[in-house]
Amino acid sequence: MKKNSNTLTFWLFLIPSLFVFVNVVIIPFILGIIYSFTDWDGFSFFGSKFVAFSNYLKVFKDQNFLSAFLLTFKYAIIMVIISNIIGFSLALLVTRKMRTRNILRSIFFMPNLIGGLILGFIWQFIFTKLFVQLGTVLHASNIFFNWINDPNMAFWSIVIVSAWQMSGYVMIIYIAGLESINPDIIEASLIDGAGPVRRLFNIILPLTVPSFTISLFITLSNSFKQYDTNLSLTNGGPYGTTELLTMNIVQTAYKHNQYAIAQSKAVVFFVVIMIITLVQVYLTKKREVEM
Amino acid sequence: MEKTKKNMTILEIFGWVLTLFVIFPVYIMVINSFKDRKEIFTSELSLPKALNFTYYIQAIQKMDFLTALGNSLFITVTSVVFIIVLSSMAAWVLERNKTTISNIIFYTLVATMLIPFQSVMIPLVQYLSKWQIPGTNFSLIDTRYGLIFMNIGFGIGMSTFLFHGFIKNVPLEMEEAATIDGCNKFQLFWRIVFPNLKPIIVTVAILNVISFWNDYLLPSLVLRSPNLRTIPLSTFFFFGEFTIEWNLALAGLVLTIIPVIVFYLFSQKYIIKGVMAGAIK
Amino acid sequence: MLADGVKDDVTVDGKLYGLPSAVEGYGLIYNKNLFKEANIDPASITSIDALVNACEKLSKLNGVVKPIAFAKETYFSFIHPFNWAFAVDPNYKTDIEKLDKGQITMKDIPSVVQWIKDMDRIKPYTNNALDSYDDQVAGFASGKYAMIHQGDWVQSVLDQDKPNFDYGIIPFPTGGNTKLAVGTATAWRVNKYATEEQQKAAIEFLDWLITSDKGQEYSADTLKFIPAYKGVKAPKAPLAAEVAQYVDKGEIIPWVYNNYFPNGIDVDGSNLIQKYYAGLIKNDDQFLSELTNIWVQDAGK
Repeated sequence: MKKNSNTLTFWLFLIPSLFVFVNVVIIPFILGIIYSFTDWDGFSFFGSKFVAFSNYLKVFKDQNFLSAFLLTFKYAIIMVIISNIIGFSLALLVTRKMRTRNILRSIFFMPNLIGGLILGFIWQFIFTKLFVQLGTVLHASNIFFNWINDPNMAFWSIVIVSAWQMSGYVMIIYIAGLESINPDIIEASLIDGAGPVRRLFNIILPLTVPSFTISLFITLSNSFKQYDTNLSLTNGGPYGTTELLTMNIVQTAYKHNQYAIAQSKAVVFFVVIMIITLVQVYLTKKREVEM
Repeated sequence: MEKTKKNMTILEIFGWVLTLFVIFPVYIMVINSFKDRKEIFTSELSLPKALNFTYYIQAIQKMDFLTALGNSLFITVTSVVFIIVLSSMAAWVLERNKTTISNIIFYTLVATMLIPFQSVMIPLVQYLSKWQIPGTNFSLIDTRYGLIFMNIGFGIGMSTFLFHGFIKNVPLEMEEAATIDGCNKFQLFWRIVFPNLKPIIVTVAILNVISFWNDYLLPSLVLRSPNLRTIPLSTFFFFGEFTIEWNLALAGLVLTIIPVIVFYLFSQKYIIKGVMAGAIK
Repeated sequence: MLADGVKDDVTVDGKLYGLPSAVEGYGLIYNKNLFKEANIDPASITSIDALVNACEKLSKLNGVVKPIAFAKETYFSFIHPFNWAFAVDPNYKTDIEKLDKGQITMKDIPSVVQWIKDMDRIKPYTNNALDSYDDQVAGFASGKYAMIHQGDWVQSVLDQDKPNFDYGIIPFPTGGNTKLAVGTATAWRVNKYATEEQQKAAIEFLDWLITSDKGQEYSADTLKFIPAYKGVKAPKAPLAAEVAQYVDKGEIIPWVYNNYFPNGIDVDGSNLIQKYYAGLIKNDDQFLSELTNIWVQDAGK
């Protein structure tokens, strides 16, 4: 009797969650994989033909997709490096015993709350208008010009804006890691006469490896998924040179109405992001154990 | 001792110099939002000649700002309340009944956190648009409850995971005592377990609020009617429709970040703690 | 009564599906004062040679940075300018049909070949489509640009800039074209899901708006609509008034893109033309074959 009522509650408590989750995530995910092997037109699946790997072949021949792919790789690597260095340094700074450290933390974290789309628009003003004016005023139009019109600088402008946002987020993670270090260990190293550089490399860094696992994971996967800032800041321009993966997929589906091909790209995207993040977590976890 | 104090002051000043990178763009946006077109085009750096609120009024009308604010608030709050209720319940039974099936469900939930939204969005919209009830206007596409439904689906994996980790460390004794006192499972959960989850509820709420409030891609696929637009959507269309008229656009941008700043001022302590707790798990 | 050239926008297979509420026209909006100063008669710009000549003169004026400016947004940099190539082609429907099927390429359509040749001629006198719409209009208002490739919709933005000169609009003279590109941005449609009474009331309202004096006045002065019908009152704003004259004289050609351009060509075409402005396209042949490629790809799915 008790067993039965337990099972009943188990399912009663679980079913609402499962129902939503299965219909929003699991079923579309499976459908997506099926669709990617057909000539689905985006509306009714009824009447679609099985086309085996032909969508995937088209995807790997699509120049725009390949360049978006490479650019996203480049972007993700740069973002992981920059935002973790800045985030970690900020964390070191605001874990020192300063009176205003809490306010500083709050300010550095603030860009995260504004959201990528709106941040992109704000910075678009800076890069397209303010920069042009700075160029004239400071007689430095070789540094300050309309960055959004230049393929190279437009890419870096996305990096700057998202690094500016992401660093505050990983800073919080590193703060948590740094604050969990036992003060006695630092104390002991001070007595041993370890300098700040040695303290950083021999004590602090090894003890914060778990925070690195998380931060690297978050920055890596978020960079791969970047869309909002890409859209509002450069919209892929000039002439498609700053189009990242998500934008390419969205354009393929909703601009060109090539749903099956877009879905194949989305599946490729999933596989790649899966492999990369799992490898990264595996590598850093291994390091955690070794330490 | 004197020397460390002095060093600390230098560091502190350095920290404040760094905040300029955060504050400067916001400052530029605010001062230019009061200028008319001519003023913006001649000088972006100078202070506005007068505090001119006309563009704010125009932006409020053209963006339909109050409607968008209402939509954003309604969608975010409702989604988060549902997520907290549903995922805490799910996490509790999953944690307290260790069976093969509960393990499978739990690890599926966790594993799917790795699925990027981009790889399910296209079939998602098509699949859920098929959900219709003949004779009614029911539709998950282009309705607020439809978006809420999807928000819940995408938030539930992470939220259940966070609750699960927290409940693991809540001692069983109280629950056992309550069972002996004759509590049934519902009473047990709502009276004994749920009130004890407060710290993790705050974390789950904050993480989800940040992501739903700022989300653009999902609402852009689901909501089509202008009167349903959330703040990011109405901002996007505002920029698109008028292409960019910076004088109006900047006022609009300032408007969109005011609610965020107000929210942040009141709850920054919880936000920082919540994000910290969420990240460590 | 329905002005020629707008019929296409609201008909499907010869059946009328909506009443166009207003038309909009685009072309080269020009600074009348600068034209006077450079001693150019706008009516004489009936060929690309004349336009190039005018540009040459205008670029020597004080304060003029570039004689012509295009905006960088997809519609402004590509769709509107490229529309001329088909709008002047009397066989555009069949040509596009063949193009979609891959039976011909862009090189086989004379008006398209002519258009890119014309673009080559004026390119040195343009801003290379690097300005945003906002900057383009502001640049025109400040006298930096003598002409902008835009439509009468700029009026509301231009009014805020308070330009201290008069301005008008002329067609883009590709292949000797003298007609303005005019189309409907919006159309009144009666909602077939509404009740019978509502539908009747809606039809009566439209009838009033288009045919009665009061309705025409309201349409022109309050809604600031340029009539899509011949012999109907036009609004007073300078650009709208000039567009209305072209409509009245029937000197208009259609917005082909509304119904005949494939999905996605706005983005792909704008990417292509920006590459063209950036000097990344070697010659017309390359431009046209790349254009054919993206066109067929976007049309073919």
